[in-house]
Amino acid sequence: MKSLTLRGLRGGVGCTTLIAALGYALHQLRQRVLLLDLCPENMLGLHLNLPWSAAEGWAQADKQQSPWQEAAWCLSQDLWILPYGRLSYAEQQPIAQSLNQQLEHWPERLASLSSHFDWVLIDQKTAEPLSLVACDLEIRVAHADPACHALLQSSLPPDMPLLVNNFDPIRKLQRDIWLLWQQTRPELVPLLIHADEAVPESLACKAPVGHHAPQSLAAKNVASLAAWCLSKE
Amino acid sequence: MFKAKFYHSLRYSGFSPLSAGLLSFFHGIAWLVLRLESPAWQRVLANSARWYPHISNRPPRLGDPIRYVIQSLWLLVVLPISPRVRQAQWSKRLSLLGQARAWLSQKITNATRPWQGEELPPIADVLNKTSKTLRPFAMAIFGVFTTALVILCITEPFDFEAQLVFVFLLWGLALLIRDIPGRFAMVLLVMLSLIVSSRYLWWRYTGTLNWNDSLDLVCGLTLLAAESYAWLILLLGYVQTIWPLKRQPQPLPRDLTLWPSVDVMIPTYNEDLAVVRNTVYAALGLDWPEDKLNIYILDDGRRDIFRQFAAEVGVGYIIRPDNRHAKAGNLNYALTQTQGTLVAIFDCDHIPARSFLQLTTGWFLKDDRLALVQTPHTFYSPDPFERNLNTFHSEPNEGELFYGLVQDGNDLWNATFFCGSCAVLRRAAINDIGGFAVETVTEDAHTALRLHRRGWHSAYLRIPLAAGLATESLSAHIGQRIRWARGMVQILRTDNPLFGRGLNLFQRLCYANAMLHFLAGIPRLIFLTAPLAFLLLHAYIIYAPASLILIYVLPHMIHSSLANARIQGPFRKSFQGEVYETVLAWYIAWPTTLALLNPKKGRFNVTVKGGLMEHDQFDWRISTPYFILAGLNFLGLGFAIWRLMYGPEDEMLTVIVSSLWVIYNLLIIGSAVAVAAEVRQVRLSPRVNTGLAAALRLESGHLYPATLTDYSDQGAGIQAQLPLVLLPDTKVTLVLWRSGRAFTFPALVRRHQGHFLGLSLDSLSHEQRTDFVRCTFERADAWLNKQEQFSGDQPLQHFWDMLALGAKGYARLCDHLPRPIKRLLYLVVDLPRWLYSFCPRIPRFSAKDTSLSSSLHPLAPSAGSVSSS
Repeated sequence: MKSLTLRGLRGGVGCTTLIAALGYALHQLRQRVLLLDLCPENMLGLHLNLPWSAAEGWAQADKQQSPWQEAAWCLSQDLWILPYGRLSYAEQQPIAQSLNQQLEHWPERLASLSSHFDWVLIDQKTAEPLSLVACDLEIRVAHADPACHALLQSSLPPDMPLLVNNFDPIRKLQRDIWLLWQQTRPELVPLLIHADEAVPESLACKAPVGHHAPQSLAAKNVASLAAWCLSKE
Repeated sequence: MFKAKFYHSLRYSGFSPLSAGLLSFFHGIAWLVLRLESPAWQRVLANSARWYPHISNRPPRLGDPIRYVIQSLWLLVVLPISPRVRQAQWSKRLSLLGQARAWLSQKITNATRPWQGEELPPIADVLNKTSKTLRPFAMAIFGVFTTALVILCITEPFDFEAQLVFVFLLWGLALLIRDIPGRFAMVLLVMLSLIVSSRYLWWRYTGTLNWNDSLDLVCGLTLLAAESYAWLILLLGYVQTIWPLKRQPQPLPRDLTLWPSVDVMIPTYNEDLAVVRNTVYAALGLDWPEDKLNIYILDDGRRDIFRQFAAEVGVGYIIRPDNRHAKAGNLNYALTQTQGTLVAIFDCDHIPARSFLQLTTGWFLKDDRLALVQTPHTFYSPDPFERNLNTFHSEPNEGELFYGLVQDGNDLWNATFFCGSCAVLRRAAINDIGGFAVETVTEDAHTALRLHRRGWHSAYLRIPLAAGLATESLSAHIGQRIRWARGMVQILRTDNPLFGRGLNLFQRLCYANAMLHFLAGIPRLIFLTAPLAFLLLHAYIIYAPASLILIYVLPHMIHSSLANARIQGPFRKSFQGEVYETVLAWYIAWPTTLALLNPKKGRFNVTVKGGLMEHDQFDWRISTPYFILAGLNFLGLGFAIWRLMYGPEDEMLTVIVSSLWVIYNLLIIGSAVAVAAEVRQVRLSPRVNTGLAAALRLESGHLYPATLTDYSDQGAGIQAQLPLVLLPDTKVTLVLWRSGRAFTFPALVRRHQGHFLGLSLDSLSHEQRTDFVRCTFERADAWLNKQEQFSGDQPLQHFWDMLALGAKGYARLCDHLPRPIKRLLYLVVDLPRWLYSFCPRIPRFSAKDTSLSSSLHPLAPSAGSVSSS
């Protein structure tokens, strides 16, 4: 089993949406995929047609000391999601603390699942300096904009693959930054996720983009990304 | 009730009450008698397209009941027995024959393995190993011996049987060695062809002229002169093409400061700015250091709009005080205004790929005496032949042989010549010969000849690095060829390459062939009329028995087409040259003769490019000479029938052979006529077919992956992966990529059909146009797909194709005839067609189509436990 996480260079670059889309795309490539939401916002499930009202999740299970495995949802054969669950802000604090203190906690849990899945995709908070859960494949996600360019100068291990999301070819500045990164950033993933209206639309329909708009350019881009991930094994 | 419905549907599709009634009546009878509702019959009906292929896929006709009966009887009675048995017998025999042939060719291929390389065989090694003093003697003995043998083969007179044996031996040998790969077998085929053809010509000179009858003699000598010319061209052609050099590009040094400075010159006279614009944009995008690249538009038309355009995009604009000496004069004046070490010349419609300079200039640094690097001319629009015969991209075109093989063969002898465009020249060399030659109307070849005379070298790079527009009409095409022919013959007269200083033997031969080639007009006309001399005038042009003629002339034709198919395989369809030559023959005959007599006469006429033809039309003016030739040949055929019926018994075979020749001529003329039926050209700017990745961005922000299927400077064709419903005049953005960069172009939807969209790109800025040209026309691989390998080496198949084309020519002629004559002719054509429609057909067996079901399932989350999954 391989674990993968996307880390936004800053907030709002679309990691959660991309994780959902990527999980679906990997599943389309006949991989067994588990999507794991470690964010208290509990947004990942919404991309995958979980009802907003569903409060179950591993965090809630931990709080109630019931088996965390049973909080999972089966979306399709070999495509599973383990949501965070809905907790109040006060209830989130002890969970966050235990996450921070017991770093080996989740890797152990995932190890117990390793025979069931090829991939586990983890959605976790961007703001943390290091991953809560260390993953085999960690990809930084950025927009081709000046803010991300500035952040790139200082942040993180430089060999971590860098993926550009939400690229709008009409915008000259984005094209120029993409060109600059192509020349100066060897870690740049050689493909783009384009800014496609189909992406927000698919969230509105509570589906990953590959399911809602399989013919859109963004869906094709995510499919290429999935193939690229497979090639990294 | 049911019958009434059938009747009404027939009436609706245009049947008269009587026919509709009859058909409905038979329909009803069929249902009454045959129990068509039973499962067995329903199965037959469901597969009617398979069992009744000629009836079921079209609207019903009155004779259909009879056709159904005939086909059914045939299916039930004849088909099950005969074909299977016959097929089994035949396939058994054929497979035995095929096996024998495969076995033999395998044996030969294995046995001759050392001779199959690109280099010459081990015999040369043996010669090289002999000691230095002995080698000349060995060579001399070897040479004398083989020469004597060849002379013996050519001149030894044989009687009928001996000649027959000789011919069959050589033919069998040729058939065996044509399967062996490598150069040695090719040289051997060429040698065989030369021996057989020389033998034929020797026999013609020594044994077939009737000196006792002046009419016979005059006609015979005329034909013999034409045949001698053909033999000479065959010989020179072999010399020229037997060893193409296949030169590779020379890499440039890493240090950019060593790269030479280049002036790109784009001469124009009366062409549209729209045509010239793309070339300029592409020149701006050439991969070359900016400070070493200067681009100039040389405008002999002195148009303000060009001056303005040049200023806008930042290229040089040169005009001169006079217009003397046309293009050569234009270039010469520009040379005085510029300083670059190298000069790249593009006709204003030739769009270079970005890699053009990097691939061509390396050899200039390697060889100080190199004056010229020429690359092929390719065309992204079909020439009149390709358009009218619908062979664009499916068959090699006229230029393919010249640029694919002849120039490459010339290169071995350092005799590649300048073709006026898509070439790089060294300024010092041009200055050395006093500028581009201005004396003839083909300044390019003449300039190259002068360069070679002064000891400069030339090189040819067989990589298509630029593409242009082909001439749009047959008359313009012929006009261009007349100019070339006249110019080349002018050079032949004023600066004959066979004489004068500075050239080696092979350079002389290559140039001579290039020029003599254009004298083909009169010999071709002689061949087209020669059999008439016998049929109409009863002149014995070949004074020999018909059977003897056959066993001399057929081997000559067979061997030359075998050898040529081997050498020219991928570059030309055998016998295609016959069609081209026939079309041009009449038109170049007179100008070349005139130029031969008086080389000073003749003007430079500019080839008009970039036009459109609104309707299908038949060029009556152009094809008049072919009607006359065809008329004469038909007359000859009439005479042949008369001679067969009333002529002396002993002439029968001669009459038959002559008639076959006449029929062959008629079919060649027919193919020339087929070319004259012009197919309309709808687009002003021809589209280039491609398969580039692209994307379409809608105003709504949606992006869709797509394929750019074709483009021009004005528009693009897009194939989306799903049918997009976009109304005409919707604004969209076309996204293209080039080396990892995205470029966007605002576009308007013009047409829309299923997955296909037609976009217009009218509102691009200069910068966007440059980007568009860089993403499309100028890609380094843009013109490479023109080099698709055509299957060569099937002379017999091509022969039948050409005859079929000839027949098609007459059919097309019928389409364009005035209505009453057309009706009459159609009656003649339609009667057999109508009868044939009753003939039973072989049922169609096609593979069942399987449709892929959608693999999408709705996402339906259900609670569960991951560890138990």
